[in-house]
Amino acid sequence: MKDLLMFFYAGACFFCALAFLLHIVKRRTSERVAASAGLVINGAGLGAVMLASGHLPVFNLFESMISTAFILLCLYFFFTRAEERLPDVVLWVWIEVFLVLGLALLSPKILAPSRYDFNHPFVVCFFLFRVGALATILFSSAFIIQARVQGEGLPAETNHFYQGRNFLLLGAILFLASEYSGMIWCQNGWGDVWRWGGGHLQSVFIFLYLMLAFHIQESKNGVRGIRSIVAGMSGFVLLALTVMRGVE
Amino acid sequence: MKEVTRKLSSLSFAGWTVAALILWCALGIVLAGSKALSDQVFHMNEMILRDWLIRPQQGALLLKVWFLGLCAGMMVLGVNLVFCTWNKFVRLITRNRSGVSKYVMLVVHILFGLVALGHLGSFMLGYRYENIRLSEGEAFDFGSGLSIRLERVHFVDDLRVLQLTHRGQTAADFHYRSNYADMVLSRGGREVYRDRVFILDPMRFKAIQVTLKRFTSPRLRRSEKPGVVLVVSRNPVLTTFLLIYPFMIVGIGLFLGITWRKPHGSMINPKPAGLNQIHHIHPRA
Repeated sequence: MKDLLMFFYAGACFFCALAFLLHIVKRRTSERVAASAGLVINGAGLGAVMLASGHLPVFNLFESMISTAFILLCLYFFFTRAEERLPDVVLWVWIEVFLVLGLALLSPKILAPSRYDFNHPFVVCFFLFRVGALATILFSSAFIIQARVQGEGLPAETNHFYQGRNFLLLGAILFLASEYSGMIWCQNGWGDVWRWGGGHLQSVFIFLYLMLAFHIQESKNGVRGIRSIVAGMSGFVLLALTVMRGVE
Repeated sequence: MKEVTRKLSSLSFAGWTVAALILWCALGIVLAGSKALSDQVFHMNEMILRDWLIRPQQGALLLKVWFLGLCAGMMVLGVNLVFCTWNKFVRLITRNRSGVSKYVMLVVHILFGLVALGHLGSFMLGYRYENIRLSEGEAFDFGSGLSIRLERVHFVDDLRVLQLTHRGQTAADFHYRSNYADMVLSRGGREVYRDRVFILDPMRFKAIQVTLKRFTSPRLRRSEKPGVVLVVSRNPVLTTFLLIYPFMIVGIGLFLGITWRKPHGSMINPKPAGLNQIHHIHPRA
C-alpha cells in the first residue's frame, strides 16, 4: 500500500511541478492540462487511501496534507484566472501546494489506523471541516499576499485583497463548523463541550487569530499595512498548528 | 465621558485586546505542554471549573492566575463588544442606514457575545463528576438525593480490546454502536428515568447528562463483565449554547453571501467590508 501511495504522491508532485514551470513560462493552457493531471492523480491517491483504510483521508498529518493539496487545486481551478504579470495569485497558490506536499513528504507516510469512531458523523465533520478551513484560508493567503506585493491602484475587478477577505471569511466559517462538530463530539464523548488541554487551546488561538485578522485597524498603509500581514499569515499559522498537532 | 466611551468602543481597543488574548492563549498552550503543569491542566477537566477555582487544594496557583487572566481579557473584550454594538445599533436606528449586511454583522456580534457567555456559564454553572467507575449493580450518588445505577452491561467484542488505548481500538475490533450500558437514574431512591447509554450517545434527563467514556477490563474490576467509566454532568446553558452557535455561523455565512461581490466603482478599499465592519462607524463621525 505504501508503494501505491508513493506512486500517487510522486505523480501528483510531478504534474504540479510541471504545471508550476508552465505557469512561469506563461503557457496557460498547458499549465491547466498538467494541473488537471496532478489533480486527478492526487484524487486517485485519496481514493486509494479511502478504499484501503475505510475512512476519509483527513485523520493524520499525511492524509490531511494531501487532502489540503487536493482542495487547493480545486480552488485553483474554480477561482483563479490567468494574469499578465508575475508574480500573480496562481504563483502563490502553487507555492502553497508545494509547501503542503512537502510537509506530506516529511510526515510519516502511513494511513491513520481506522479508529472505531472514525465513521461517527461529528468526528468526520470535525476533521473534514478543519482540512477544508486550512485549504481555504491558505487560498485566501495567496490573494492577500498578491495584494500586498502588487499594492494599490488596480481596478476593482482585480482587487485581490477583497477576494482574499472573502476566502478568509469562508475559511473562518469552515473552521467554526469544525469547532461546532468538535464540541458536540466532545459533549457526547466526555460530557462537556470543552476539555482543558493543548488541542482546545490551539483552537482558541486560531479563533482569536482570525478575529485579529478581521478586526485589526489600518489607517495609513492600505493593503501594504499590518492587516495584510496578519490576514496573509492566517493560512500559515493554521498550517503550523496543524503540523504541530499532527506531530504530537 | 464621551471620550472614554469612544475609546472603549474603538476598533484599536478591540485589536489590542485580541492581540493580548492571543499572547495569553499562547502562554496557556505552553503551560499545557509543560511537563510540570500538563497533569494539572488535565485535572481541570475533572470537575466544574468553579469548584476547581475556589478549592485551595485543587490546581496550581499559576494555572488559576492564568485562567483568571483569560477571564479578565474576555471581560475587557466583552466591554468593547457592548459599547461598539450599542453605538452601531444607535447609528443604524437614528440615521436610518440601509444595508442588510450591517444588521447581519450586528446580530453576529451579539451572538458571539452570547456564545462567550455560554462558555463562561458552562465553566461555572451546574456540576460535573468525572471518571466514575461502576460495575453491574453499583450506584453513584451525586447530591440532592440523585443517584445513577449501572443495571446491565452488554458487550459483544473480545474483552482483550479493552486493554488497548482509545487510539488503538479499531473499528474492526470494537463496535461502539453494539456495546452499551443500561443506566437507571433515581431520586430519593425512586427511579425517575432509565436509558441505554452507548459510547458517543449519552443519556439525557432534563439538564443531567450521563456519558459513557469507556468500558473497563473486567480483570481490573475482578468481575466477569466489563465495568464502565462515566461522567455525570449538568450544564443548564448547554441547549441554548448549542442553538446559538450555529446561528452565529449562519450569520457569518449570510454576511459573506451578501458582501461577496465588491461594491462597484471602488478601487482597492483600505477598509474592506467584513474586516472590522462593525467598527466602521465612528461615534464622532
